[in-house]
Amino acid sequence: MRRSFPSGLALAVALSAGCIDRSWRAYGYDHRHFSRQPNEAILNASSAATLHVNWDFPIPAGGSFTASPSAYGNTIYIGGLNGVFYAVWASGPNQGTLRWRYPPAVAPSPGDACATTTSPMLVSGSGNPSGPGIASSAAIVDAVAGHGAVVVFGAPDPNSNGGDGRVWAVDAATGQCVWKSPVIAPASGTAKIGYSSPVVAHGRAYIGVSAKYPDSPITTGRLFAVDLATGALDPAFAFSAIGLAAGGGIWSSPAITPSGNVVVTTGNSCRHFQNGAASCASPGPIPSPDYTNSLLKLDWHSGSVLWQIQPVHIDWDWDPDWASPPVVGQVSCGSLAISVQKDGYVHAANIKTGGPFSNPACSYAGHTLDCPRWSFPMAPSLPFQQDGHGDTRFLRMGALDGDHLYITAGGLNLTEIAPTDISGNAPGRIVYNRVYSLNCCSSDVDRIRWILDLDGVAGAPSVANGVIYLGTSSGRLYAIADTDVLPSTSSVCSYPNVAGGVTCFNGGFRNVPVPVVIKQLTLNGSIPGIPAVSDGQVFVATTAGHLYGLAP
Amino acid sequence: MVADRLPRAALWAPLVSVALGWPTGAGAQAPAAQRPADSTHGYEVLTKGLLGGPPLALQFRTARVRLVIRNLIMGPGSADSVPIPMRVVMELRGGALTARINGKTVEHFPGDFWVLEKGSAVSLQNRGDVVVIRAIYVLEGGP
Repeated sequence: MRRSFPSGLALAVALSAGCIDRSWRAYGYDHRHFSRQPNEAILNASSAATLHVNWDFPIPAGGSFTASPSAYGNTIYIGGLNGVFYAVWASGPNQGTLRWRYPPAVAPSPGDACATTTSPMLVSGSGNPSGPGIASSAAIVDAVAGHGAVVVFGAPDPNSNGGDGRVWAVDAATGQCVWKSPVIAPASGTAKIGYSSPVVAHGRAYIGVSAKYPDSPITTGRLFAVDLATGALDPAFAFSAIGLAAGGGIWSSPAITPSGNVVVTTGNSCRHFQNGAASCASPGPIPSPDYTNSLLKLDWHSGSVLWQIQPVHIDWDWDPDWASPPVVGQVSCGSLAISVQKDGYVHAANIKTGGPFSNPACSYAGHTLDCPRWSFPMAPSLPFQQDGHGDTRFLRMGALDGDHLYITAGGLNLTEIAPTDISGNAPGRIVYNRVYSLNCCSSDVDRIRWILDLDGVAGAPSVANGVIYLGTSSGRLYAIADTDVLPSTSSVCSYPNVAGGVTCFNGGFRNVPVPVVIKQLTLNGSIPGIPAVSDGQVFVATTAGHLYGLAP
Repeated sequence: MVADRLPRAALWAPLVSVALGWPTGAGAQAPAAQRPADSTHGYEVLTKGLLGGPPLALQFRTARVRLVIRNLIMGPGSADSVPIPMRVVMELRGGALTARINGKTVEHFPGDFWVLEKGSAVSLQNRGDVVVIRAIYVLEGGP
């Protein structure tokens, strides 16, 4: 602070600083999914170099986290795959200790509005870490139904048919259940609330459902709007990803556009099972409507589709679910919705229109498909009319800081199938450990700002003050300085496995800066989720069931 | 096993060595079993604009035929004077490619196969971001 400030102004600044909200209230920070903490005052490129484990909260009796932590009111909120939701003190004398858990260790007496018991929130049947407990990250909402802040998340109801999926609202201070929504994923059906995390807007929480057991069978993706005041479903809002056949599961968390509409991504259809997988009730035909494998903008009130981007033609649907949630935001070249599909291509669309409607090369019969504004790697034309867009598992959302996007991507063009042996075993070289910084508003040839190769499959990044926080499957937490903060001191070829320098240049590729890694920490378990940055700490959850508070 | 005496090999060994990624001279003595693909930095410049990955070699047991398989990649731009030291089967694995072969221009799409005869005059233009080609070089031994 400048010493020459008049004392009154200094006081005003100090007072306003005290009111700054440094919480991390939802998956991806807020309803836009920037995964950027704009109000971090302590962590920067200098202080992050001294990050260390400040505290460690392991799930008692063991468990696993695949949800991402949320931070509010000196408390970290996160649910575990063991079916228990935890509130953990973030700082102070009790930091790293349990504030409350839900369901509680002792059932409330008299009973509460949710008929709470002590049974964990589990549903049987789960083929990936989207269950059997809580994989949905929490959103914190101010002042609901006579309570102060409440925590909203999706989870199975242990007291309803063995785990009917509902949205829950729990008092942030006490852990008392405020309401639970009607069932949106019946345990007797094929769907559950998986990774989809509620996004809050218009007094509603929007949340999707995906397959209870991935692809077995495929379920119909649906998005629901839950009234935050009452927990009731909004009857005016309805979105179903597909017609008669199943498909389009919503593994992602919806985001809200600047004008208040909903952007969401959807999973695959049954089309690729046309040669006889039993998991699809009606394999083969092209569904109508077909909102599978798409980035969609929906009317916030009705759920009707405003635009759709489906980059992979359905005949080449070999399971390229679009599972990564979208990031929406206003950058210097407009408003974009950005997400990476499971095949590794990043698509950025004009939020208002989905893209230039006038380009017929971008559309195919039966669709209102429009070109995204850009794709990375650059795609000559869309939708793809080629095989190979399959289950290549690019699943993590990016982080957005101004025009700079941080994301793990690749795309088939960066996926060569290596001739590894003469028996046909060619696992290929799909690159999951390469995080990019992309310039959202540059030309295609200048899209890449920097590249960093990590030690394992990259999780989802977050960013604060030009420092990117990112975990990997091997349990490494990276703090990376953007090249705007610390200049790069080395480079790497834009194409994986090609040596930098002359070879790279002579292959027509670019030698790209490598950012400085200012700190690495090895934690216990994989880190698939988003590190939450709040008030001088980075909060990280791992599949080994540890919730960490990292501080300089 | 390996053709350890390919009589004509020495004549075009330097060119083959570049195209197939073999060390000059010693390349003809390489074992028939595949070389493990180098997982990092395995590419070399075949010609300006075109890189070749680590080769995998296979010697037929009942015929004097040897196959060498490798990935070819291109960044944005073009590659002129692509060396074709022997018959080669090409498959476009990814990207959008325009090939000019002996004066004739052909546009290729992923999944396309085509054959280039030894000595063909070939230039390639990448119409997109990255082109990935699977190339199978066919070495037919002498009598």
